Amino acid sequence: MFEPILRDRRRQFGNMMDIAKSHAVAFPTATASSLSLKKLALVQSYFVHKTFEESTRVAYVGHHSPTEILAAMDVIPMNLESVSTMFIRMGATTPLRDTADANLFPRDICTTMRCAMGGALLDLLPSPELILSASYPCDSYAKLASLMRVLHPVPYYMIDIPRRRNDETIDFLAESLRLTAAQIEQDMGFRLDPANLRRAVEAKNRAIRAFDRLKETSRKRHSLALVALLTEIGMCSYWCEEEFVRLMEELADAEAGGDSTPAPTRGPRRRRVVWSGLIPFFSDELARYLQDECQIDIYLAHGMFYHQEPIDPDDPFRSIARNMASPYGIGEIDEWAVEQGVPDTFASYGIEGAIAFNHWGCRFLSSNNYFMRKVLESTGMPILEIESDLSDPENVSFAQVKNRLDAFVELLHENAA
Amino acid sequence: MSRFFAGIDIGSLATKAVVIDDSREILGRAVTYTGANNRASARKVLEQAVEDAGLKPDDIQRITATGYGRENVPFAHERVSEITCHARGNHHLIPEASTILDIGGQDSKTIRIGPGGKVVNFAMNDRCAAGTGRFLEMVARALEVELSDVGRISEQATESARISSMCAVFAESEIVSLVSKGTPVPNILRGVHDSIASRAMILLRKVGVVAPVAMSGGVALNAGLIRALEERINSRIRVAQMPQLVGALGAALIGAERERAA
Repeated sequence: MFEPILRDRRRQFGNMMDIAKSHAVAFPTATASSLSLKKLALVQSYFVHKTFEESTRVAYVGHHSPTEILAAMDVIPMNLESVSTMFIRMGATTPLRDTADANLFPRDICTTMRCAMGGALLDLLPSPELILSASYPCDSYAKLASLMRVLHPVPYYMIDIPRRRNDETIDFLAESLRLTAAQIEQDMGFRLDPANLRRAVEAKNRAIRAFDRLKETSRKRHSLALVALLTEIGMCSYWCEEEFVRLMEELADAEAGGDSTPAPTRGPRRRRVVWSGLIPFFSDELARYLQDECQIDIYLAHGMFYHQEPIDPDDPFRSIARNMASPYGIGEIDEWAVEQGVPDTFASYGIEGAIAFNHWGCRFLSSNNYFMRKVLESTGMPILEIESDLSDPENVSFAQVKNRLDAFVELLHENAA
Repeated sequence: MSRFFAGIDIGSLATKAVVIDDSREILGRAVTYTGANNRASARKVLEQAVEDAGLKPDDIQRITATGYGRENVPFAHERVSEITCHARGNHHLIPEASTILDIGGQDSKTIRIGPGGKVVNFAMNDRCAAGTGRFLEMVARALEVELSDVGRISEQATESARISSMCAVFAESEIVSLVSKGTPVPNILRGVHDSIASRAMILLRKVGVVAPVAMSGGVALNAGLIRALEERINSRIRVAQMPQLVGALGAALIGAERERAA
């Protein structure tokens, strides 16, 4: 078994910087290098840096974590998937993957998780105070988190999100959150002060309002850059942190101030496609090819759909539970009902086709895309599925993917003609 | 005065060319191995097809390239994916076909076509060459039979040997193991065809199996595989006379359409 890692955040920060210094962070799409995204990246860097400070309380989390409860306990969430993505964008996958492989971490597990495991084994991550995991949406993260507690012998909490979604689920989950919070208080001595929880909830609600304003602006303008920005924000875990909330409000104000009519980016031959799933973190080759060579505008589905319901300050556990249980944060409980709404959203952006990107080893994306295909088939909208990898360049063949992209683009242009 | 159009399909194993005239009649055709130099094989096969048509290279109005090597044909006027080209070529030869299965050297495609041979939907295999022409080539080598005889030999099978469809290389190991156990070669080949057919069915279901189904690509010459597929779809599969040329024909037809529209 693994040897526990000794807590030394100064050393861990040094290890992280050794990797970071030799690489530059890349942005995910050709249209995503906007000023707003750069500001967001800076604030994210600030929080990553903060997690290495000795006095900071850190919790390893995945997506769909009760960050409101953590914030009320003055704990900064460190989303291992997002940190892994940061390293992948630096082009630093090789040492991370090699380390995971050298330790016989199964190669069938998604490469984003393998990179996170490699990063932990290379001692690039700050030792946490606690590890919090949920059984949804990423089952690989739940497994990774249970391994992390061997490397970092700290209290570990697992929240079970039932697969079946209804009001009873929410009641069950709200009660689980109460019990988990009480257990953290007891184990760690981190008090969940009601006033602090209310402050965290208010911060989250401000962030939600700012996000919704950004989304509205994006919809009005059909803005590719804003959809990319919304995607990035949706992957952040800092929605209860004041600095992050202020940035979101500033971005919402700044973006709303511009022209509110659809951007004239669409030439006579440009077509609009939604990209379901994410674009490989290590390269924007696919996106550039579609945008520059094929005259295709790509709208990231994650940014178009991501949604958090406001938290009820008087009954926060139930609201938090509802957001955690919602499929990819869409706010509804019934997945099928959510998918039924997909064509309307696509129509509001003028979408003409969909590309579903299945990430190797990710059952969540594959099953989501399966739903998407079933829904779009009934509308007649063409959908292209790509089996590839978000994180491991060695698992991607551009020549293979290019062939089907070309055929799909030809199909779109023929449909338009 | 008639105009002439050429389509060149550069696949991973073979490069094909077709020359047609204004009336869309096939005047010339040629097939050669692709080899390591796409440009040279494209040039060579074009010259052969032009000669077969009784024309001179300058007579060709427009050249359209398709296949994996299509970017490597500098003298082509345009490049079109083989999915679009197979749809158009099959529609021209078998107008009633609604669904197409094309098994090429390194990939398999299923295509649903609409009016005018327009692609409505398509699916392709991912990650593995099991179930493709390369797989059959490997099997033929392992069993020491000619690739062109594989279909005929499989017709003599008394039963189908079970071959996994997970991986082309592992399947070869299985075949070697079956041979060492004394399994008759025809039974192994029928098992191989069943394995390929079951993979093809997954792709076909992705686009929806709407009869009539047509098959193109060099593997469509394999009668044993056609039989295995027909058993599964419960319907006759239509195969054009020279199925390996359908992509090149589609390319030439698209070139002719664009020339008319220009």
